Amino acid sequence: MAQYEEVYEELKGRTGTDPEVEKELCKRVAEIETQGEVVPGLTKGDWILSWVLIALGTFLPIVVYACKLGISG
Amino acid sequence: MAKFDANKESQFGLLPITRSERVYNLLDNTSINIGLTIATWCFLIGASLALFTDFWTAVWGTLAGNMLTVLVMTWMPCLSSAKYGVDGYTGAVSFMGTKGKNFILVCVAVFIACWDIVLSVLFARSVSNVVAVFMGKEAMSHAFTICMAILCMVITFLVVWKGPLVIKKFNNIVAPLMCVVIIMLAIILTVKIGWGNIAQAEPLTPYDSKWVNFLIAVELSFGAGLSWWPEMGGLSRLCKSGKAAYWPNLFGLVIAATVATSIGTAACLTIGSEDPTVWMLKLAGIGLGVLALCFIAVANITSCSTITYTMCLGLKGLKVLQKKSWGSIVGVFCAVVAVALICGADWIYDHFYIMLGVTCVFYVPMTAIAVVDYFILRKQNLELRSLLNQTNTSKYYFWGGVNWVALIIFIAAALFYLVFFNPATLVYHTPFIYCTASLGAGIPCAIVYFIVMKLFVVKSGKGGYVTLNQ
Repeated sequence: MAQYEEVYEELKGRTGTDPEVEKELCKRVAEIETQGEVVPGLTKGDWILSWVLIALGTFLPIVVYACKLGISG
Repeated sequence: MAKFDANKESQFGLLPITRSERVYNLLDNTSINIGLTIATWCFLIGASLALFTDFWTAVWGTLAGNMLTVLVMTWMPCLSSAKYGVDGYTGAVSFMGTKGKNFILVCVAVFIACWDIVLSVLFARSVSNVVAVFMGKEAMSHAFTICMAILCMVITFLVVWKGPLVIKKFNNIVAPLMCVVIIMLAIILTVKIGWGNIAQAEPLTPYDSKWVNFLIAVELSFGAGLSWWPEMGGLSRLCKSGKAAYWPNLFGLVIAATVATSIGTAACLTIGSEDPTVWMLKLAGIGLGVLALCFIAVANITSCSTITYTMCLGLKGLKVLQKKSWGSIVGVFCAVVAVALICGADWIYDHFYIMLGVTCVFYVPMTAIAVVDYFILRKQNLELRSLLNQTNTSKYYFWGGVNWVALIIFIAAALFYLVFFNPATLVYHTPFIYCTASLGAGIPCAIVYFIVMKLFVVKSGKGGYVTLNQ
């Protein structure tokens, strides 16, 4: 619980919440900091797929319509 | 039912969510996203697009607009909220400062009030048209419609006041009902009109240039996609992984939204009216039309309640409102909307497309700043203690609690947006036809923010950038 004590020491009276809530908050911060990352993030494959979808779903239709209609005001 | 205590809810409800408390996997979050998307706003967005484009241009414009904004906008609130278990407003402290996040909160509150106005007018017109059918009248009076809109806000107040369990019960009924309405409309459109005729239908009030019409469809869809920001952080913090927080947005806010919006566009184009409460009766006939309008009326109360609840919970977190009772915060918020309705704010409903454009003016700079700050400057690392510390000992205190660099660039980018496109008058300027207004304002905003922050703020040691990147 050393981590909790340290977090509580730093945040006590500074979170704008009730003391009861503040203790719970510090407990959670300590837990999350110990774990480093609460849940796994996106992989490299996810990022590649995300960019491919943006290219295909957004930029491709815009380019196709630009060619089809011509860029004019 | 357990008594709803907003004080506890607003404080405990905003605590970081730990791994063991995560409840949503990919499938759960996908169904919630689809449920959120398939609501009455799809008909309104679809109707706005029908003003400018034909059916297929609207479909591609919606897909293009939603795909970019949803996938990029959700990087910051979704991935940071999933990683640290905090909501989007708390995450905003990292780039706006401990007090600067209140600027975001207040602006979002204005947008939510506008959405409430639109949804309550949609409720009112649905009820008015149903009553008019039963009374054998052409239409009900304007005063009657305004009274119904205010009634919608009164019901919303009661539902939100009672807390999230009542909203959840409403949602469980309404989401499947809306799916039924959309499938029913698709069948009626196929049988009565046919997709060949829908594809041939002309837009209602287009510009001369088809290219400009397509770009306006893309721009309005940017607005529709970005307007989901307030809901994103709250959902993602409950997800079991980054994938579960991120990819459901593709299925819900992009694909389901595009399908539902397209149904709205198709109906609007073929019936020739932009008001779903009018075309619903013409398209589906008296029997099914009245039924659909009743569903829509109930659905609007649910949508109003959901967005009002999350907004008021956010407002309750403000230091000045922490001592106020939950009922008084919800009551004042709903009363402001009701007064706006009496003062003629139902005008917003008839000019809904303006709201989508104005949404871009606000959310485009915020998304650009948030993404650059979190991904490039902070390399996806936030300090949880500083996010929750509201005093000047927080690393995100910047200057007086505000990241003035972000705020000034934010306002400048919002004004720069008007160089491309004025969403209030729909007047576009030459640069708009080359890059749209959102990309034209968003990309320079991101570049300028990165340069100024790197040169002046990161080096000065403010904002906790140096410690994180060491």
